[in-house]
Amino acid sequence: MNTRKLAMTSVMAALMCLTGMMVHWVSPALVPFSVLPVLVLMSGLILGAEYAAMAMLVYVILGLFGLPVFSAAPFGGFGYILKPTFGFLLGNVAAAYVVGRVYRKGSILWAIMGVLAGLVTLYLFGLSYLYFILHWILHSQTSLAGVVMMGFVPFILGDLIKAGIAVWVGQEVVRRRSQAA
Amino acid sequence: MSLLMTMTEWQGLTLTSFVLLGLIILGRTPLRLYRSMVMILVWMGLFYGLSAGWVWSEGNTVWQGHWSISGLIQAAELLWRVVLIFGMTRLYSAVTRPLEQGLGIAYFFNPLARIIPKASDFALLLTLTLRFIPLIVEEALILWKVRLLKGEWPSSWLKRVSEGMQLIVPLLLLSLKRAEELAENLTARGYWSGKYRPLILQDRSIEDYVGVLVIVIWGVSLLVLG
Repeated sequence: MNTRKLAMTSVMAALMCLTGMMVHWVSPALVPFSVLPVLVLMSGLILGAEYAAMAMLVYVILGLFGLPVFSAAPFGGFGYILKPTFGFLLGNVAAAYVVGRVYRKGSILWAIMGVLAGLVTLYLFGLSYLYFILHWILHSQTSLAGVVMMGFVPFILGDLIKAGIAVWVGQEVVRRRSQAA
Repeated sequence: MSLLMTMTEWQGLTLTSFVLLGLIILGRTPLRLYRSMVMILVWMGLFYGLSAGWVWSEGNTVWQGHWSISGLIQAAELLWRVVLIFGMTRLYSAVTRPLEQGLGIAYFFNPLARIIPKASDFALLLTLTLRFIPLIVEEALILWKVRLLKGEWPSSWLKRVSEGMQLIVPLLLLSLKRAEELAENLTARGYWSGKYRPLILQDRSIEDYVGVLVIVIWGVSLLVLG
């Protein structure tokens, strides 16, 4: 593995951890919304597919091992696997990979395509897990439409705005780093 | 223990509740640590209660359903498990420093690293991530102080987002630059992929052995009761 890329991957994973911690430590007046999805999508643009997915995997593993890095109580630990929203954490890994795979360096069009493909992947994982937990674990009569109403409709607009921010910031970072090199 | 608890019945959950209570008392952790869990558990209770307890027969609509006692019991058992797992996690993170947790995680990757070189890279990633957290906080505080020189933090939501994004770009650039410097240092000191071995302290006290014994007895009891 490339040492430089490894170190950069740790930076993105550390930023994810810090952001997760910030959501429950810092006042909402200071941070108006969770920037975690922004970082997920942006890491695909900055690091590329494999390393971005690895950064997300490090974040998920640290959280599962008990570090308080997730944004909702209990903020870490294996208990998260039982949460219906755990699929979105797994989706982060896949989404970062897809963004990196689709993106062509420097192209804003491919950046937009990439984050949109990433969002689709994120929701595919998140909603499938939500359905799995409700249907197979809780044995609840859940329809696909119900799962979409619960886990997709209320969040999609916010996530599209966050995807826009990810493209803006990600492109800016890639551009400035290319100029500096 | 969390995985074992997903398999056990009410007897195992009762045993775990007593063990957790004992650990909270022995760990002398203040009860306010667990207060943040209450609201989320109320919401999860409502969620599980509704999704498992409210049932309706085929062909009927949602509002033609009724409460099912077995569904409610199932939801209560699930919530009980979640409460115990949340409690154990909260206790663990309250009595173990993040750096110690990181070393512990790297310790588990160590045997794997001897077989698969990629695992050693992953252990390095975990260690570096934990080391980078305070460094990024440092950088962020410097940027925040510089931002404060410009004036007060805006009250408008849109302006706040825009200001936040203006801080994120330099923070990312500075942090990535630090990462590159670190990578150069690692390479200069002879590091290459697959070579990393985490620092393992072999000091173990009598308390560690007692702790392991308690966990083994606890785990075996859960398997027997389950």
